[in-house]
Amino acid sequence: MSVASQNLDVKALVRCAMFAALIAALGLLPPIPVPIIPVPITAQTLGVMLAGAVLGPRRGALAVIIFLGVVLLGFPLLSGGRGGLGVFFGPSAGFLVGWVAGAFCVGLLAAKSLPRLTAACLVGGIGAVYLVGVPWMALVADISVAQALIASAAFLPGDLVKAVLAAIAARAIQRGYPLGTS
Amino acid sequence: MTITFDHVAVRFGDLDVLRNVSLSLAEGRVGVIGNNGSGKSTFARLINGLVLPTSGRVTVEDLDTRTHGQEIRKRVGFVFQNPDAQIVMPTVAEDAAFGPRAHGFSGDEANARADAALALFNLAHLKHRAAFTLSGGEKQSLALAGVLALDPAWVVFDEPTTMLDRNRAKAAMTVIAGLSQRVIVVTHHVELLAGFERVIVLSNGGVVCDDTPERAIAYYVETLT
Amino acid sequence: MIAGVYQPGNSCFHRATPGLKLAALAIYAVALSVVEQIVLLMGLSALVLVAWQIAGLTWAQLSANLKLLIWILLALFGFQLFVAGFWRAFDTILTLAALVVAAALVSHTTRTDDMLDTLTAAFSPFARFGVKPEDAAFVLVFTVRLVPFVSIVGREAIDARRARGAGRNPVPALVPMVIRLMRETDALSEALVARGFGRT
Repeated sequence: MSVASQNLDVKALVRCAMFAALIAALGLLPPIPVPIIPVPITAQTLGVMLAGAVLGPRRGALAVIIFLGVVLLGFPLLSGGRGGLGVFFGPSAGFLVGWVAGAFCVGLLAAKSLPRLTAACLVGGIGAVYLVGVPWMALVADISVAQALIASAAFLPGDLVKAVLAAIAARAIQRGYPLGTS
Repeated sequence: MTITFDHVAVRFGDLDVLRNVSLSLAEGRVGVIGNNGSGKSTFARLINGLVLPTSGRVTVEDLDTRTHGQEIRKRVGFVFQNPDAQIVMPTVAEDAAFGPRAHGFSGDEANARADAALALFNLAHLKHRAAFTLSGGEKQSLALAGVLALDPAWVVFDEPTTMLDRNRAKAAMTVIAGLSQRVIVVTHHVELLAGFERVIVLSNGGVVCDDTPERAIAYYVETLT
Repeated sequence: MIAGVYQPGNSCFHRATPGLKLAALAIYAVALSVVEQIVLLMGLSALVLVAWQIAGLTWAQLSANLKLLIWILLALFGFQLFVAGFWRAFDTILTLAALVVAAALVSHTTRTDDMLDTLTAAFSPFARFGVKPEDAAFVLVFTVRLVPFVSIVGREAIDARRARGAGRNPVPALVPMVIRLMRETDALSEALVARGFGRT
């Protein structure tokens, strides 16, 4: 492998690690209470969607995997200061695993236009995440998928807001850093 | 113990960053000066293979940077302008041991080297501190300690004083002057190069003067500033 | 540096290897899910509380682990109560709570370094796909180093917006923040290569 292409690989890896750290740092922000919406929203999934939109499908998914690896090691970097193995045994663990699929889908569908980015964040950031998280919860908690979906619905309004915000931010980043996905 | 540039040119896209540079460096203290865009930062990165020549070749002790980058980076330490970019591990001790580990030393050997280098800069008592909590001066020392832990033959400094105030810049130059390694300093602060053996002036990607510090600096000040 | 959830101590749980603890956790999880009798299940759940005590962990730490879970457990209890009756509901949340507590016990008694070594070893079969286990381990540690850096860049981005008249809202600050972070990666990856990372 030549030094030049090796540099590129290292750079790609550092970008993934940087986004993993961004997702972690967003979890350190206090959750934002929003009127009407029943649960406070955390900024962490914004980072997940941006990872896909900025890094592309495979590297975006890798960034999320790195983040989850650091949490698994025992660093309390999930919003609310959670970390360690316990996180992966709870009923909502599927949503965390779903983030990997979410970042991948956002990256796959993202393009340089706001409507496309919004669609990507809705399909990836909500669709793909719930597609893994809801059945997982049904399985772990021994309830039907429909029931798990109702239980998750409290998070849906916040997630919709975040998907739109992520799309707007991603579009601005594309304009300010055109080489973002190079 | 020589670094040789043999008809080296570097082109980024349409931009000629360096054109046809040939020289060899064997002195203990070499300065490289030039304005922004003169190619001096690229010159520095050619020495340890961070940048590869578009044509020509760079050799360090007869090893080509194109084929022996990793070995060369063990012999040629590189201190970046911004120490924050250079610190890659969470704690001081881990960061100092990073280079030795990456170059394949065993954990114990790497830690011993790190400890020795930290002691050299009076950082031993900060061993278990988070690297990001260090002061600016301490970060700079840690960056250099991490490089010296590998016991390189050369140390290349890229703009070591640009981010420092005058006092800290002076202190940094005292440290550099005291190093037993061969040193190459890239800078546009000409006053830092007093006492050096040789100074190279770059302009528009070419060597325009290569002389004693007095003469090279006089040339730089008269014609390029 | 950010502290892990590890709680120093010298119990048999602290001294056991991470691999052993993970295997025990897996067996415990299977046991919890196959046991049907409610009495046995309660016994199994009590076991983790005994283990918690032996490990020298406090009840405050236990409740901290469950506090974040309590609402979702209550919601699930409500669902189950409605569709399957009290005992099924009780079974479900007891299983989940015991499992989470057992997993937390492993993390509380295992140094992050030791967990990293175990994960690295577990990763080694993937070496043939081009993922070097020591590189994977490095990336995780490197990421931990980057978190405070990202926080500082974030604060600066918010401050820069405020200095120029904007509010404190962190979301618009994300844009300059991400752009600067991506630019910083150039210098960081250069430094990594200069210091010997990525040997082939």
